[in-house]
Amino acid sequence: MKVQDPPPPTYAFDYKNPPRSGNEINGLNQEEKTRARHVFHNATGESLPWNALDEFFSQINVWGVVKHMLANIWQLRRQDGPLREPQIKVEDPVAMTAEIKARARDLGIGLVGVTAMFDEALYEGYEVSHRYAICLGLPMDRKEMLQAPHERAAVEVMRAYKDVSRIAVELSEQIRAMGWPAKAYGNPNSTDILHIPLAVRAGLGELGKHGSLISREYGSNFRLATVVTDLPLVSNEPVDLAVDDLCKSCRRCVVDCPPGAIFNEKQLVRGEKKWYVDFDKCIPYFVKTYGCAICIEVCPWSEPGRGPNLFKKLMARREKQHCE
Amino acid sequence: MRTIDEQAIKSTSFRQRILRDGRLLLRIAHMLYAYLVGGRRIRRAYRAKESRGEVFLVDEEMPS
Repeated sequence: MKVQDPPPPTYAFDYKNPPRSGNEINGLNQEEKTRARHVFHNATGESLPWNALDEFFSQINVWGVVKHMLANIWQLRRQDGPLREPQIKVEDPVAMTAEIKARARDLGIGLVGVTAMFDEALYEGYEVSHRYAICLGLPMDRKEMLQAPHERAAVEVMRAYKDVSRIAVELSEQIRAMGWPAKAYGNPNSTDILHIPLAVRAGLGELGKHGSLISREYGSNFRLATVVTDLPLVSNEPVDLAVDDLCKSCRRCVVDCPPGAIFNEKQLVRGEKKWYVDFDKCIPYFVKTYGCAICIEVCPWSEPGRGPNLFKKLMARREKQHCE
Repeated sequence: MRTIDEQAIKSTSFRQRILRDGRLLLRIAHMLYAYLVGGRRIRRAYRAKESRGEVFLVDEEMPS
C-alpha cells in the first residue's frame, strides 16, 4: 500500500498547560511491573490527563464516525443482563468451546479464540470478575481502509467497532440464555479490560512493531471485542506467526508514520520489553486525521492473502537458520 | 453439538428495561446535541484558527 498524501504532522491545536506525558503514564522505561492505566479514551467517567484532547477529538470528528459511535453505545446497553434459569450443565468444555466458536462464526466473526482471564489484561484498579475471555476479531473493508489517513478509513474503523460489538453482545446474550454469566466489551471506549493482551493469549495473533495485533488471516486489518464469561471453556494457546522475525527487519510502518511515532526497537514498558508506539507523537496525528491507521494498512501482513505466505516463508527461514 | 438454546433471551422486567433504555437514550441525545451544537462551534473556531495559522488550545477553549 502507498499512503495517499498524508497531511504533515503539524497541528493547529495544542495544550496551554500540557498534561503529563502519555509515555510516562504508559510506563515507558519503567522497570517495575504494573498494570496499564487509562490515558486517553475511556468510558469510566473518571478524569484523565488527556481528556481535553479526547473531547476535542470527539467534537471535530466527522458525522460518519459519530453516528456509528452512538449506535455502538446504544447496542452495548445489552452487554450484561440477567441469567436464564436453570443453568445448563457443561459436561464437555471442549465441545462447548467448539460450539461457542461456531456460534461466533455464525454471527459473522472472522477470528475467535478463548483464554483464561488474567490480572494484566485489566487496567489498574480492576479485578478479574470472570474466568474466561472469548476474543473476537472482525475484518475491516480493505478498500475503505486504503483511504487512511483520511475520513473514509475512520468511518470504516468505527463501523467495524460497532459490528464487532454487536456480535459480542449477541454472543453474551446467548451465553446468559444458558444460565452462565457473560458480559460483552466493545471498543474504543472500554472500561476495565485490555483487548490486545487477551487476544494474544487467545491465539488471535501477535503484537507487531506498530503496537497492533497481527493475525495470519487479516494482518492488522481487523477490530476486537471481548466477551468475558464463567461458562466452562478450554483456552487456546498463543500463536507463533514469526511476527517478530519480520518486524525486526521490516521498517515499513516506521518509515511511513508521518509523526515518526513507531520505535524501531522494542522498548521497556512496565517491566517488559515489547513493541511500543510513542503516545505523545502518535496521538496528536491520530486526532488530526480522525484516527490515522496508516501503520496497520502499510503492514505487509495486512495485504489480503499475503499473511499465510509470509508465515510459510518466515517459518522456512527460521528452520533453515536452525539447521545452519 | 449445539447446546445453545435459541429461545428468546430472558430480559429484565419491562419497567427496568424502559428505565435503562430511557436513561441511555437521554445520554445519547445529550451527546448528539453536544456534537451538533457545541461541536459545531468548536469545529468552526478550530477551522478559523487553523486558516489564520493560529493554535486552538484544547484545555482552554473547549466548553467545560
